[in-house]
Amino acid sequence: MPVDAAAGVRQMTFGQKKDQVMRFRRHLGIAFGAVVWLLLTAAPRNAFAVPQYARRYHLKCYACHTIPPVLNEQGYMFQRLGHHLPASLDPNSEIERIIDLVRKEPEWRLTNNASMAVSDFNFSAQRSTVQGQAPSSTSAIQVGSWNAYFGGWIPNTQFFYYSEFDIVTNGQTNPNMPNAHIGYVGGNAKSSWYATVGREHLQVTDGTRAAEVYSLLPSAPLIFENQGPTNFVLDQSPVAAEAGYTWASSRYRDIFGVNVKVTNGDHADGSEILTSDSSKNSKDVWADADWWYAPESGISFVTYQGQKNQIQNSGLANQFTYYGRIRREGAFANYMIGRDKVDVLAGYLHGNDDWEDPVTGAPGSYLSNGYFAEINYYILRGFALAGRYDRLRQDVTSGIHPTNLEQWQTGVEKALTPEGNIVGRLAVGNFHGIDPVAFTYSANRTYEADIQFNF
Amino acid sequence: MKQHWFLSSLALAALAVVSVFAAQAAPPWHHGAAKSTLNVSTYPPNIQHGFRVFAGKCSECHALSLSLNVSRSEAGWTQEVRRMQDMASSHIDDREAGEIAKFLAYYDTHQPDEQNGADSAAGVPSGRDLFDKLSCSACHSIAGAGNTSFPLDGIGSRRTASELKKQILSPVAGSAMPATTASQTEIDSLISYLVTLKSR
Ligand code: HEC
Ligand code: HEC
Repeated sequence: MPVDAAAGVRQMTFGQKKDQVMRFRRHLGIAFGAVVWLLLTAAPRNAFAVPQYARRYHLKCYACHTIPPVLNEQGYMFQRLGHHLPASLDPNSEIERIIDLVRKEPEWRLTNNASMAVSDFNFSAQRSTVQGQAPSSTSAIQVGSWNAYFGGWIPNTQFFYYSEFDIVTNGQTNPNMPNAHIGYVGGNAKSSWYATVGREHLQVTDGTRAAEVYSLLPSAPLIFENQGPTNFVLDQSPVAAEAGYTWASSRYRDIFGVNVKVTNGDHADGSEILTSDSSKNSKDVWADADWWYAPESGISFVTYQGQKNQIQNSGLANQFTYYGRIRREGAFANYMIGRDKVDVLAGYLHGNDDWEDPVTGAPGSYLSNGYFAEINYYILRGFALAGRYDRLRQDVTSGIHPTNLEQWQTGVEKALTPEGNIVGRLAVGNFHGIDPVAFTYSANRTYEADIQFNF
Repeated sequence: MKQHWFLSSLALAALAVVSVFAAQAAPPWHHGAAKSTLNVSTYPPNIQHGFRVFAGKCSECHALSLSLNVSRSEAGWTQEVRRMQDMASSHIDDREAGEIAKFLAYYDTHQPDEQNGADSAAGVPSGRDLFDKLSCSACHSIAGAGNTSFPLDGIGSRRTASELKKQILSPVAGSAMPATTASQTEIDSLISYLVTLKSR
């Protein structure tokens, strides 16, 4: 009865230290009020600058995003055409070749290729409960993230490049470069292909809307971010070689895309191959297929297959290593209804990994089934309400099984400039569940307010 | 704990100041919030309605001034709006497209004088000046001015904006015409001028 047990633990732990909770709530109220005021009054009329691509074409962020950083269909095409604006696909006019798109590009300028400050200031307050420990409350106001991007095309050629330099991540100053790749795009506006090599995200924005790691809510679906007991997580950036093909029908009624990536993976223990010893073989393959079947609505299928060394009981006398297989298969879909006002999204990801018991060394498996359902309601352009429910059911051989992790989040997001490059957000989230290996129950409630600057 | 909240408020205030300052300077293409300066109250009711559809739909991906600062014939606008309709992530249906094209064509022929040639607001010379500046006149003429071996009179009736763009950016291989080195904004300005040259 894992669910009942969990409820019991929650009751016990949340009942303690009432007055501390009250004080916490009052402070929370003040901070929330301050941030709401900020969002309502600081809304500037014109932004001073926008990131590189918008700057390049004098476009607003909405040309390619529903609300940054969530990409729309045009943003998806822009990416797949090697950072060139998709041409209008009028059935009566000639189809432009990629080189025509390249020739139409404005002059190459540094300012049209670099975006210096994509940063997020946030206030967050969290109350967490872990089984066997006193509940704790924390709050912080911080620069949540600060990234710089350099992306564009090599003038008069069909080569493009993209790199991301992260200065601050999750409030920690930790400079690193999760993305740095170069690619070539061929074909024409209707039927194109590309190939890239370099360091790139395994998953981010490869796919239709529901398969994007980016969301209107502060955290991505559990199934992208959660690390299974084999230390594998979809949201990682290995070194890869990738190729993809895209076909669009007239007027973009349908778009089909396929992608295959071969990566060197990350080590099973989570460390990166580039920065640590690479004697372990961690090659893996990612493939996905996307179909946008109506403006802004689509479906994506993904599969990931890899095999890597997994160290158990690291550093202990009974340390052992096995070479386990990791598999993920998923389907993601979204549908926009009500004249592009309401977006209904859902995703499913199945995991099936080899697993060896850390105590007995007995072979077994780690099975997982993750789901999410999300609704985004775009009240006005650049102003949306969002809510999501996530559930991850995990089943490890020899564990108490199955166990569940659950999360819900709800929030409101509003662009504060006409271009859409400054975005404010308020969100509340709740997470609880049982760790499938340690069997501990934990819960936390998060309040978040952030303001994101894109320059 | 107290000190912590004091610091938080300070940081919030700093944030507010930063965002307000960030708002001060307007980008060059954002000159004159077109919507507020445009007075359509004297326009016929159906055109006023067309303006509202235009203001809602055509501001999604770029500023309205991008459309208001170029000049097209009614057929030219129908085609331009159609092109916008045929872009990915465009949400304009045929009825709206018709209303928008009507409004833009009406606006083009009824705008007050000082709004004519608004391109110069962005620092780009007018299309006619560019015809000379970019040495097109070395081989072509307009209304008899320039080299009359290849007159471009009436070119707006023979060629669409995108055909012109193609010709200027990548002339037919082996022809005498050189590919231009002009900037994107200059080319756009030149083309919006060329499309107005209708045959009589
Ligand atoms: C889905 C996004 C989108 C919408 C909606 C949109 N545009 Fe555009 N527009 C673009 C892009 C992208 C460009 C620049 C690339 C190009 O010209 O092909 C552009 C360029 C233009 C230009 C400049 C063309 C030139 O020759 O330089 C005009 C004029 C224009 N749009 C008018 C309109 C009008 C009128 C509407 C409303 C019917 C509209 N746009 C709606 C995306 C959009
Ligand atoms: C060195 C001479 C030369 C210069 C300079 C030149 N052109 Fe041309 N252009 C030609 C010739 C010759 C043609 C005839 C078609 C061909 O051979 O491509 C032509 C064709 C054209 C056409 C197509 C006419 C039609 O009826 O379809 C357009 C439009 C045009 N030029 C515009 C321009 C513009 C705008 C410029 C300035 C940026 C320019 N040309 C500069 C020589 C020139």
